[in-house]
Amino acid sequence: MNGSQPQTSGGALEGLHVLDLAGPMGVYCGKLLADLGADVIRVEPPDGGPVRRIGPFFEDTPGVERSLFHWHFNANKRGITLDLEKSGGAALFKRLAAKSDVVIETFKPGWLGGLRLSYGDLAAEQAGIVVASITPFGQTGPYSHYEGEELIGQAAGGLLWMCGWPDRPPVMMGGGPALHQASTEAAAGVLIALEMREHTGTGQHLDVSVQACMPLTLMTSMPQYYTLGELRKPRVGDFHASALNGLFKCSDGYGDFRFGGRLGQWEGVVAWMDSARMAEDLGEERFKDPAYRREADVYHHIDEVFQRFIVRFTREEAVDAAQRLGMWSGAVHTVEDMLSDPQLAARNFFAEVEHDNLGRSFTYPGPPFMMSETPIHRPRRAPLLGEHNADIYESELGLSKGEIESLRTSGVI
Amino acid sequence: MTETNGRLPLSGVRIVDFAVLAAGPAAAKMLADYGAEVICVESERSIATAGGSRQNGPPGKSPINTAWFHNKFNPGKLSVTIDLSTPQGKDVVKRLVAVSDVFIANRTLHVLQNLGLAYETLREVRPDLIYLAMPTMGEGGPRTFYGGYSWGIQAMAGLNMISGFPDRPPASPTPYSHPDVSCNPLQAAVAILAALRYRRRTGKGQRIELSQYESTICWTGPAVLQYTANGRPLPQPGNRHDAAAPHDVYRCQGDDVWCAVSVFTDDQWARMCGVIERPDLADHPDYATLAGRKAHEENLRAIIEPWTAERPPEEVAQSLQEAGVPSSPVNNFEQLLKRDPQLRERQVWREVEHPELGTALVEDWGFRLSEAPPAPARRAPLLGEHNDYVFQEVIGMDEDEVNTYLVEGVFR
Repeated sequence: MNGSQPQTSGGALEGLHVLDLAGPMGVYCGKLLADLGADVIRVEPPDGGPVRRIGPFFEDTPGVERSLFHWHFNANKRGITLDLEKSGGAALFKRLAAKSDVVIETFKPGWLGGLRLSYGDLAAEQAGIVVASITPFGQTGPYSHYEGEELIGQAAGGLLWMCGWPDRPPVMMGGGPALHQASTEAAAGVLIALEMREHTGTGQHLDVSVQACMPLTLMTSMPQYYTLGELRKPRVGDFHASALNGLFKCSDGYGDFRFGGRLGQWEGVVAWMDSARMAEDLGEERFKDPAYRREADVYHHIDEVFQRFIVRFTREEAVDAAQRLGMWSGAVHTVEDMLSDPQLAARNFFAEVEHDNLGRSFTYPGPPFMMSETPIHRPRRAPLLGEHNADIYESELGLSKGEIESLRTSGVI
Repeated sequence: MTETNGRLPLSGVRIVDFAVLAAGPAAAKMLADYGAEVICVESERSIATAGGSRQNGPPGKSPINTAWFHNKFNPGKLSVTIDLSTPQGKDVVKRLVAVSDVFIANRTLHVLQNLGLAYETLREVRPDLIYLAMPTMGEGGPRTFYGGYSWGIQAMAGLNMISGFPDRPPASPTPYSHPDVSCNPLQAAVAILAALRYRRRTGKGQRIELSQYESTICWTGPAVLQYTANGRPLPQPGNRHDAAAPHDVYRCQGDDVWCAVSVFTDDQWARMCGVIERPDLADHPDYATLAGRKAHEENLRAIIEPWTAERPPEEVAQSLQEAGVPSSPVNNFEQLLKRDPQLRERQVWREVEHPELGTALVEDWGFRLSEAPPAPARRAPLLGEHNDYVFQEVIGMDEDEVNTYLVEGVFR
């Protein structure tokens, strides 16, 4: 089996052609489009560019084919090399863009324009082109030339100030929430622009600011601040600011437990604890009053009693039981836990991805959603550097072998 | 700007929004902001028993029209009240779906089946319907019955274990139920837009199922691969980054005021040394290289904070950025709304008049389209504000029928 050939039929975005120049903060945009069936071509500099230099690395050894960040975010894409700054590079990119619907890029505002590859330059050749530019602060405005990545995006957009513990400095959220937020809004923006193209026949320039994508994650804090003028207390640590809301220790790790407060729920939780004779005094009448349970010393006491009870169970036992009582809770999982989660196994969520070049396969996350008519593509391994040069330059763009050889010797591809 | 005759990209798309709180409504709001007609189907009865988006607002006011959730996630939508516990109400919703393109719900399958709003039922009245379900876990599997606040979902999806400090328990990274305002609404919007494109090309609608658990795992890809390829979990990183130092927040002038700095190259470090008045450290053997700075990372706070602590965060960030060093104030709400010139330039927030709040804050998305500015800022609808329009003009009921249902208490 050739692990590198993307599936070419059946996705909702089949027939959509995307050129992906994105660096780390925009690289998930093309992945979502590729998962949905678009033909996404990674256009990388001959040295591999920044995304292949981001860890973690396979067997902890850096190398252009060993970045797990690259493996994940460029799965389902094809890949070519092209040095935009070398003579002939920009012209070659323009020829590719003339046959494409979408270009995704994350360069500093104006950098592509300096190579005569701005949105306007590309649209002059292909009026329908949609160019998605994803930058830390956006294309215009006083900070548009400022630099930043994940930490800066979380800080500038307001998420970071809220995260962490009251006795410590703010601490970033892991997993890259800013890169995902910006990349996914970009994917939505691309599809909105393509809807508009159906009416107008022309494409447009999409300007995504990582910073401006982040306030969505502040839930209702901004309207509350606007109306009430009060800053919500940042950094709540493990919660516990009301009864049975927050992190509790189980016998094999932690669970996040949330008391919903629906009618009869308190009595149910107390009966559960009482069945093990561990409800202590919580069966007393006064605890049935939600207002009483909101008093600080009262909810601290309730949490202590619940903690003594719940630590006797494993995470999964405790959360399953709490869920049956309507407490919307979850076990704190590691990746190892997820890989053995019977729920995910029953749904066949994880995907085995063949890396023919390494002679083995690896387990990847499955699709973000399912569509009944248009399957989401299971991941195929990310392209090796320049893997599809021959397919794309020769078969699809029609360059001769001689032309390709000369581009290769001059370092353009 | 292209002549569009005021037509927005999604003009002509009608969406029935039967979602609550954040994850579903946020997805629908994006589509409303770009021209879709989004109709929230609500009812006085369900608000009285379940609250949903219309509970908890400013003190001293009825939350029905002033609630925070409703006003953050429902601007630009229409509101109708239909009592779905009545057979007439169930019929009216079906008639609405029959003239709509998309149905969005983030309720349990069980609830939707009981209300006659399962995909199989609605497809009968609208064969090319695009139907989005957003269950906590998804159908099939032993935990399908789980309900969810996103705190539990993100814990299960592993986010807690790759966030925060390694010497603290794996608490929720943010105080908010993060997946409700990130992966789940945004990927739902992408799914709907992709399905609309497919329907235009083939005439076929479809059912989308977004398991909030699985959708959240999809935003942790490198962490999954670190375990499956290298056999180890990613650590809880604090503010550190393998390829950068300094990479942290530093105390600035004021109480609980911070600035983030991330230095990925030795060149950035040398420039930073100039800015923070420590030129002696640019070539210092312990700090000149990334390897050196990583080895002495615990010393960096004592080196940097004497300079940052005497300055406001905006000045710190500006000085560093002008020298080419990535930096930003750790913005709190006041800084975001009143001080950040970049967010103001982009008009991320706009004020709208609101009959009960006076003025309300409406928030935009992080992207701008050159040919399609977002719709004019509109407030969230009052409960049932668009009953007449929807029943008469959208569904096409005559006045007698509307009056009969009013008397029968169906439109509550």
